[in-house]
Amino acid sequence: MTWSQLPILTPVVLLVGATAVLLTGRIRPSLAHRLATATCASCFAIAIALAVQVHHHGPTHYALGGWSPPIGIELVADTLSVYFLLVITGIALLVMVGAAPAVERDTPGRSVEFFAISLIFLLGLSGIVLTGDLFNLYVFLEISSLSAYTLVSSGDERAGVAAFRYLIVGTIGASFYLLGLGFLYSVTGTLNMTDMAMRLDPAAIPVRLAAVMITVGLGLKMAIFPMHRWLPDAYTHASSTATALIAPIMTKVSAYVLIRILFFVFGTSMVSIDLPIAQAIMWLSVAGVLVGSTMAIAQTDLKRMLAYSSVAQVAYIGVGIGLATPLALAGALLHVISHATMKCCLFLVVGAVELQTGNRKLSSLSGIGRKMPWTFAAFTAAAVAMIGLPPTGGFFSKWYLVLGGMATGEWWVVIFVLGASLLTATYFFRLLESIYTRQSSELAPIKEAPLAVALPIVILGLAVILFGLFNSRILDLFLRDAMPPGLVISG
Amino acid sequence: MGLLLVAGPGLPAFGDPESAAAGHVSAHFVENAYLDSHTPNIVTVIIADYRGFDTLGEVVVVFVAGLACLFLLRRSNPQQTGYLLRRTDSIIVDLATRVMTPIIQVFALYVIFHGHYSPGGGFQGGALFAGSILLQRVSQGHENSQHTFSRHLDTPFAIAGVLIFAGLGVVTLLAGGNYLQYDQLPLGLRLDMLRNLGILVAEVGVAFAVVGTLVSIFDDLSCTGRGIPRD
Amino acid sequence: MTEFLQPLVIDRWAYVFTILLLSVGLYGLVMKKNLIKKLIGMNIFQTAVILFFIQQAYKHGGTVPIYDTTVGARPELYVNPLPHGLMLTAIVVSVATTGVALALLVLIHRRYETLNEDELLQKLRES
Repeated sequence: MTWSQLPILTPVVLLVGATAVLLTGRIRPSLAHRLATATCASCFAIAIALAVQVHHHGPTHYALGGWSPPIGIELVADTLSVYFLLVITGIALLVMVGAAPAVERDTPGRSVEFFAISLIFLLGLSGIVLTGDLFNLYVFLEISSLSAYTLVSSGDERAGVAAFRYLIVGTIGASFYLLGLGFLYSVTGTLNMTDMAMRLDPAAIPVRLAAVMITVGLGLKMAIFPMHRWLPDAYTHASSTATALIAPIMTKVSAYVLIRILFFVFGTSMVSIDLPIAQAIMWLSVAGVLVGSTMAIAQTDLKRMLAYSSVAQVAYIGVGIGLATPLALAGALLHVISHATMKCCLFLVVGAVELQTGNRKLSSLSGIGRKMPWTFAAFTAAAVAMIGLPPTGGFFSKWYLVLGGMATGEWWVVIFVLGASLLTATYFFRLLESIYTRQSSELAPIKEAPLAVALPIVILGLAVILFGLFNSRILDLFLRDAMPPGLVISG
Repeated sequence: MGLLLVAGPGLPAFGDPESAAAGHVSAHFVENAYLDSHTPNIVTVIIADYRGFDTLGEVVVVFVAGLACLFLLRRSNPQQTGYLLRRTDSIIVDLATRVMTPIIQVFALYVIFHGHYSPGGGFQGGALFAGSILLQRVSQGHENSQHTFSRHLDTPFAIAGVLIFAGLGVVTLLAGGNYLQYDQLPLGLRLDMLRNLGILVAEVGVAFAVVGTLVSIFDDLSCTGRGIPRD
Repeated sequence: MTEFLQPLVIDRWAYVFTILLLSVGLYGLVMKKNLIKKLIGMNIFQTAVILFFIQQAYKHGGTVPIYDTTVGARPELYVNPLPHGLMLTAIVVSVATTGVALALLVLIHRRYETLNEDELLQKLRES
């Protein structure tokens, strides 16, 4: 096996890992978690190796079965894919490390299957970002979605209903995607992304209709307003580990697909000039930002608040996509990694709080900041980043978005984006105040979370700050090369 | 829906053999499938060879669905598991299923292995085979049909199927080719016969996975755990 | 009017059925109150998409895509095999999704004793 085999390794390792977890789980359940963590760690290592390779040698193409495209299916690892792959595997590893106590508590007796399904979830996501074939993408999309529906149902009593709604919405989204793909195939005869980009005629009606359908389908999966209704319930009622795994990456990967298809297959001019798709995404996302942030203020359950906040944050990415300029897209991509780390950190904190105190009502969080200092130091960092204050990554991604908005003269967008930051500040400052200042009414002593749980949280908290400080390095390393053809970041 | 009607005329005419979809990639498949893999059924060649990775993904989808049902419904406490299905009282049903089951199973195996030459393959044959097992469950009652196919076999069958197919790819990797590149299999056969064999192994893997998952889903859905007494 | 209708209804009449099925599926999904009926609506929608792909594959005068040595390997003699292969996968995905959905419905029914959306919402509000 040579380095050229790298792209296929991630899915294969995850698949073999999942089966291994199931098999060892029958013999010795306690091993299952270690095996799952080891699998995630190896995938992260593979992702890093692949990133290095792509950086030095350019995009890697891998022909499955030895059949070159467009006859066969190919995997394409370019800078954009690798960027997302790093985020996926990194988050997965951090969540998996501390997952054992929470999973055992939330899904007693079924934790082995939980880990196996999580690994398959990651398999689906990594397949999505690596594939260069549009139908293959659909298959992996459904793999990750099915696993996600199941993981969501692993929560409290209401989780089943939330999971069902998520399933219905998600499947309709996937079906729209497939229908759009059907239109595209009928007029081009191919399924390979690069081949299709060459063959499609942007003026043809079926192609335009396909663009609309695919956007609608992916928008459902990404929770773009007004198709976001499934998200708050799903994230709130799923077990905290499941949410920590799904929330940071599932919607982001849907955003990846949107970027890949809209900009790389259809072409920037088609989606922003010929058809008002990008504008539609932009305005709907702006609405999503406002609605999400406002609803978050009204919540009393920490997890639900964070869920609405996620709607708003993913909408920021949508705004970046909708603006369709290099800077705005860079902001959106930077926000991918910032938000993934921020949200993962926040949801893991929720898990830690549940572990140590048994509930997550906002009112019972009074004074907890001093009892779990490390955990909440990281929480503060993440919260600051969510609001968008320097020097965190959250600030810089919004900064690029704003720059992009100003460059295209979309002043209302700029105003709304900045306004939403104020809203975000409202609910987070209120929370922070309660966490640190008020006296706790809890009589039982609350201790800091165990190391395996707290360590990932702290790492994520640091990462949030580091991404901000080093944002220009990220820009140079990844984002410049990740731009679709025709969009170049200057300066 | 109006949108779709508007787009209608833009699509190729129904049945047009010259349409874009029929040319290009698809034409290549038709022209070369038999030459490449000595297998007449072009659809089988497409799904198990040219686009074998898609089929592997599909097996994973099936597998996840089975896992999901297991995760959602199966009770870990055997005391709580109640069997809903009792042995049928009707002699007609009993006899008929006893006669039918081996016939169905042989046909299922035929569909799997003859998928190279006629419509069929791993999924279809696997579903048929699973159907025969479910027929047993329904007519003989859960408890009796455990002898025919124990519910402890469900998941191992499914895992075996996944590993057969995925493992096939790993073997090709180790042999120096790309994943699922059958012509690299170190068996000393002619290239097209190697692919023929690769397709066969892939289909068998699929069949195992489908059988395991379908029976597993049925068992999960029909054991309610409400304490219905065992028959 | 006829220039518009003719290419649609005459040359591409099969697609009209697909559009009808899509509408039926969506209607059931949105309008019906019972969760199982919603599920079936979703399933009909998926089936319509699958039908769409298969319809594209048909060629006048084409036969089953199994290579026949007496006929030769010319593409215009066989129905387009690629969509058939793709839809095998899509059907399996659809079945898998339906299976998981049913399992979820079993769970919901166990907990809430109802599968009617309105009753369910009410019970959720109360608890």
